[in-house]
Amino acid sequence: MHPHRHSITPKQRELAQKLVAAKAAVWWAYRKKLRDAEEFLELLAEGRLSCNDPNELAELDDMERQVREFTAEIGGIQSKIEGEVGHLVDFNALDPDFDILVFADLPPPPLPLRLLSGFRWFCGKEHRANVEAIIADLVKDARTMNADGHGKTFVSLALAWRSVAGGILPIVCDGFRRLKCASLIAAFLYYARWVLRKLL
Amino acid sequence: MKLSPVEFRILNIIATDELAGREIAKRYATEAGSRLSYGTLYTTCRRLKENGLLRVRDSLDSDGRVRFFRATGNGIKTLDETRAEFAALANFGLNHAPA
Repeated sequence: MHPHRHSITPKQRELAQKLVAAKAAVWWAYRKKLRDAEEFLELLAEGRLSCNDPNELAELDDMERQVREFTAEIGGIQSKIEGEVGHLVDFNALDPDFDILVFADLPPPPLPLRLLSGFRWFCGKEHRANVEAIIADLVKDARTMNADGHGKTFVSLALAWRSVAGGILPIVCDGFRRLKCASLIAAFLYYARWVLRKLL
Repeated sequence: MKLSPVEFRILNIIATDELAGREIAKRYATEAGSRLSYGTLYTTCRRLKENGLLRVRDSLDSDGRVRFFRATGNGIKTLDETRAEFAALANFGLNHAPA
């Protein structure tokens, strides 16, 4: 569901923020149990928990029912929250191919984060996920800096520095390291010698 | 596998708890006394994951993607080995320090 642009009142925004936080809190509180439940259901689906004893079988069925009820209950809470704020918050934007924009009427993200967001398209799958995580972390950092009372220029400069020196540069260096720097330097020297020969 | 000091510190932080990248960076700054950029943190974690020393779990919050990291059994084993190696190195240094 796409939120209506430029139609959020401050009160609605506050409510949406609280509910999204509640959704995250529900997930956070039950994350270990949910993971266990998922693992249990996976094992069950793969047939690795099968048994022949009728008593054990009944116990297993009972456990499966309880686990399914639990996951359904948590899923129900999460979907109820999504239903309440679905018209205010772009939950689709939180998919793996997400954009930084979450609230429909928020201004576009600062330039450094847009730069970082563009940079991720040049990265492989793993680093793309890393860049997305870095963007989310920097958004949180920016919020903290704003809350601490830092000026807009300071926040922008800090974000620019952290995006380039603390984000893009290490990832590019890692890319070079993965490509085996030695062969890269050898290739560079080979072409440099070729160019010099042509010139001289 | 030999761990670098940064890898060693990161593995130490996530040895007992599953932590998000930002939380690791915060703890690193508190415990190591120096800041670690997110880029360095995530690329180091990628290397550790590639070597099977930690596992990554992706999640989403209202700001976007969150990556959680936790040391694997192999990671803990490597951590213990490196700890012993560093302790031996420190002892050697202390024993041979000029009076």
